[in-house]
Amino acid sequence: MKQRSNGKRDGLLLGCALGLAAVACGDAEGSGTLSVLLESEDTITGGLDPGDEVENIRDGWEVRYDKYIVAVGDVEVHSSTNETTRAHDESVFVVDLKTVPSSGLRLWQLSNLDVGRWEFGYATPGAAHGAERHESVTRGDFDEMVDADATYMIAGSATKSDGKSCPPASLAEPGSATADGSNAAGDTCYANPTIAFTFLVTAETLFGPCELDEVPGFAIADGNTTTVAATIHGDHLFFNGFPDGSEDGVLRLAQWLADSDLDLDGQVTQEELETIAPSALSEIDARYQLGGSPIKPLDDMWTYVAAQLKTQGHMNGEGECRIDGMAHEH
Amino acid sequence: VSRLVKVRVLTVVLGAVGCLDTGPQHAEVSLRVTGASSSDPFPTTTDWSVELERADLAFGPLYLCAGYRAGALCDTARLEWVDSVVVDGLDPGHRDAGTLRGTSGSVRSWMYDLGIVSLLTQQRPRALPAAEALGGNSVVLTGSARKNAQTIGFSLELPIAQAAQIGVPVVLKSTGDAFEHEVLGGETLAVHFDPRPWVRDVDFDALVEDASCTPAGPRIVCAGATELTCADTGAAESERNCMELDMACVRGTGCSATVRFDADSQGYRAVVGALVAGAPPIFEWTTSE
Repeated sequence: MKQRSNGKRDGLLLGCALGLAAVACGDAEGSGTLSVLLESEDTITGGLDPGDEVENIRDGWEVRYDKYIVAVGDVEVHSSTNETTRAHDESVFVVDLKTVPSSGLRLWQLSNLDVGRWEFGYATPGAAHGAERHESVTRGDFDEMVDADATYMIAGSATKSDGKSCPPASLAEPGSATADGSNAAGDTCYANPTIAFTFLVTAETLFGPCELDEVPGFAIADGNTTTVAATIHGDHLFFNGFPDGSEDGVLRLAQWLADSDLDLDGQVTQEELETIAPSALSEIDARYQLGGSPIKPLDDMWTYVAAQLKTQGHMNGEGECRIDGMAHEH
Repeated sequence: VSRLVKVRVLTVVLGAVGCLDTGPQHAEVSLRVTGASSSDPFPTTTDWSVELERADLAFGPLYLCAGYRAGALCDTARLEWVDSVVVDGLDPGHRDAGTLRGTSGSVRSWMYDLGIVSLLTQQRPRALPAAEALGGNSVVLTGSARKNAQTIGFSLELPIAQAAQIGVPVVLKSTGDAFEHEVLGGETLAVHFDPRPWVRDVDFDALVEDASCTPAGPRIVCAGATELTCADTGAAESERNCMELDMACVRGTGCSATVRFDADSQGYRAVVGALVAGAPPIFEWTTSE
């Protein structure tokens, strides 16, 4: 009896000790809310200009987008100190990023998150899995996205007053087009000052964990709302590689797109891009660094487009997110 | 008093253990490289049958990272091997390359250079001994391609250095590639290279033609395997059968024993693309008993 009593007391004391140990490890109390914005890079809303500045297209082409529709959502966060403490907003919206105001579009909210540091991630899935149409997207475009299980619908054009297309000789179908010189590789060129494109692309990607300036995720303070932006960039199609981390060393080039107009009708199509191996384009030369592609092998330029689109998700502007690196719970 | 002391001690110990992370331990992994037996001819995407005679690759350094994505996001590698070695792509035998050194724990991505490294502290890429052994190149290939009774010998010497992101290796694991291992130390990592995909997308069709002389056309044209020397009038001045000379008739050149792919050729770009963005080598872990 005495022993049992002592044992019970020891148990209580042990419980106290464990409690003290837990407190010693620093659990804070309280909760807050995460509000998540969708944000468009200004290259989507304003386009890319030719020039010599870092964010200009260096080979003289100007790019403007008419539509930049993306399926985005599936926001998932987990505690930085305990991966099993998670929260998830499964909502996926199909939004035209051209219409997103510079202040962002508030689309997701997660409440009752414990005070502390959290990791942040989101997805650009296919539109066929329960995505919701945002008012910025027409019913027709939405249905097309859903039917194709597409992640992106991007329509726009590249223009250059003296622009030429120099398709690979082995693939070119110039018809009655008049030759206008040749490029350094000997491919015949043709005047083609406007290159239009509409790409309906499946490029399902998980972005996260994300960090900005090497600071991961976001912080929740008791009783407060923290805002984080899922930022989609619009210039990666014209990158000369697949950088992760800083994009400072990247060149933006668009001649490859012009050279992909095999039939010289002023439009580049999925069918044309699927026909062209990257090695067939003399533009994809030593300036390009394809080693970081999230899709391998890069068999054709349509795959290249999808691979570039899989790198466009960021956090809070230029914050970096791992690609397809965080398991999602559904 | 005794119980109180026990509880105090217990509290301190539990507190310490509760917050204690013993952390990763120093780990070493033996690195081996192998090629693939490619003595049999294999087809290209344009239905040429290729036989490789030499496929040497400068490999290294190699970094294994804890995260799923290598590159700039892998500031500190879990394990690294900063040396280089020439891989004989046609030798399936193991070659010991050295030792990966670092710490124990999960590795989920890799990145490597092809004998030429880009360092944050240096303006220009630097060739390591393996690349120097290949004349400053990352890969040296020679072989022959055969189709419709024409056989084209080819050679390619190719340096591959980082052009876009200083300090980042040129070949990175794609997020779609499977690679995950819990490093304990003492394992062996074998990296298997197969050179056949490196030349699979080379467009040998672009090297041949079935043309005839035309007014103001090229001086030399190929009518299949026959080299024609053309006059300005469009008449053929002379011809010779390249096959009788054990050569191929190459567009723009005429009878040639070997085509050397230069830096602005499709063949050159195809090999670069295959090496940095093509199917990755196979990484195989074995644990010592």
